[in-house]
Amino acid sequence: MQATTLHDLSLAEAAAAVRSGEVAPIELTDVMLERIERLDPTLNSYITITADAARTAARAAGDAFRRGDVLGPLHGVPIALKDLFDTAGVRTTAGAGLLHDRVPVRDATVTARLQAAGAILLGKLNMHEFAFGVTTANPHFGSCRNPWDVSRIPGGSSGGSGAAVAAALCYGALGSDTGGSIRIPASLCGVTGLKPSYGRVSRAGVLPLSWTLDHVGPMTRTVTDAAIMLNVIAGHDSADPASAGIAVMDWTANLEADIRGLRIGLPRAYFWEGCEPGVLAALEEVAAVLRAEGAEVRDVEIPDLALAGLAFPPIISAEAAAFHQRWLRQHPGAYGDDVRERLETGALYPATQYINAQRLRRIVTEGFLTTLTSVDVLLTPATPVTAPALADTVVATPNPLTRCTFPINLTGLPALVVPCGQDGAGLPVGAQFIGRPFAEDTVLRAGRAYERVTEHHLRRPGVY
Amino acid sequence: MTAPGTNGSAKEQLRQALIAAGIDASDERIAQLLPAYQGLLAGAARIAQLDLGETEPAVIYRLPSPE
Repeated sequence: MQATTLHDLSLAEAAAAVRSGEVAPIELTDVMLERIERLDPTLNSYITITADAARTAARAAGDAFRRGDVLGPLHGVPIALKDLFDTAGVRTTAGAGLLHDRVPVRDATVTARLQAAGAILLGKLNMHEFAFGVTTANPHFGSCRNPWDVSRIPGGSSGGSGAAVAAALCYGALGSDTGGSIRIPASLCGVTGLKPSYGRVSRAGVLPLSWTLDHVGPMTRTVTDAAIMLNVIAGHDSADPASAGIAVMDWTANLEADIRGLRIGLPRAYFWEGCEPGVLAALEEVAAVLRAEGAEVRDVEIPDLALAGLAFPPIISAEAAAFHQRWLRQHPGAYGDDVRERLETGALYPATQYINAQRLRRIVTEGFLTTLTSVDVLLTPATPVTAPALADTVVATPNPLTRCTFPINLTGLPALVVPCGQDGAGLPVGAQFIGRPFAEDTVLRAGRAYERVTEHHLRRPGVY
Repeated sequence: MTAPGTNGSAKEQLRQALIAAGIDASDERIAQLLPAYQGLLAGAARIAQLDLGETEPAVIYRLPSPE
């Protein structure tokens, strides 16, 4: 296989090439490290690059293959992690100056599961400080830039993950999502991002932002790749109090099934409001493609959805402030201005407002669940706008980038974002599929059905 | 929690809240945080107008099941 094309393989193709003996893990690793060295000074998607350890692990994976020992589905495949997943012996900063030199002694559960599956860790990815923001304009490690236009943000908080996957600086990555932090950068960078159901993937060893809203999930270049990564990281973990005792499955098994008869709802009220024309045009095209594939697409209304905007701020802010209380009192100047302001405000919410927000959250969730009795999947824009300029990172409150994503964190429902077009400036647009609790298989099947007959996931950014 | 009042009363309320939370309550910080705090107060006022009936919070304490 030509070294010049190795970087363009999907994660599934890279894993298959290793399994067949066509490519050695060290070849994949060297290709990625060369690209990181060449392109990342522009993108700044990595905080820490573990080149030596990656090459050592890749050579060991090659030796294991020659002995006939295949570790797992990601044997020899280079991936990267948002820098809030603990990695034993490897610096994990959460994008914070306060944790600049923090080196965990244990792996996060998902780190350990990826390594047990044979993945090679290339490094730790840039992010919004402490995951509390959606720009990845990071005052401590430098701003991450969007590979489609380096004057624009990649979104966040998992901006490094979105940029690195889009620019082929890894074959897949993990992100975390509290109000959209997987799905926003997926949308803005033109990649696939899956926020699984709350409790589906362990958060143990993942620095928290908001315990009741935090989710962990994959960011990849295809839906199949996301399913493969979910296969590896999902499953009960007694180290995570929120981990669900729900059976796992092979999420690749049903991906190629057709979607004839699948009922897809378009909740235009709320989700279509405030969207750029290019985003709405792309979404109408997605709906048309899904209809052509046999889905029954119709408009739906989600009851009480307007309450989401009242419920979300107290929950994320108060929970984040509780986690940061001690650091915030002792080292307030160590935080970036935006994150410090959000945390200090979060410390001021009265307990009654937090509890009432959790009561509203139940009402909002019931609204979604009621709607999802008449349709199987909801289809919405992922972000109302395409990537804003880095210079415009002082964004309004509430932030328009999170409008379509944060309500889903309140519900804990699974949500998949896939690239679905481009605006007039050539920037990616994302579509979001939302499913019933623990119905990742359905949103993945819907997303794959769309991907199978379109080519948006094959478009490549300018920095590539 | 009182409804959002004048800028002056909100400022004083913010000052007291910052002191109670152990956070820097300097004039500079108050100027920085006032818009967000007014948003907090507005949200609280809107929630207080809602009749939530007997709706329980989404986060409920659950005793672990016996082994």
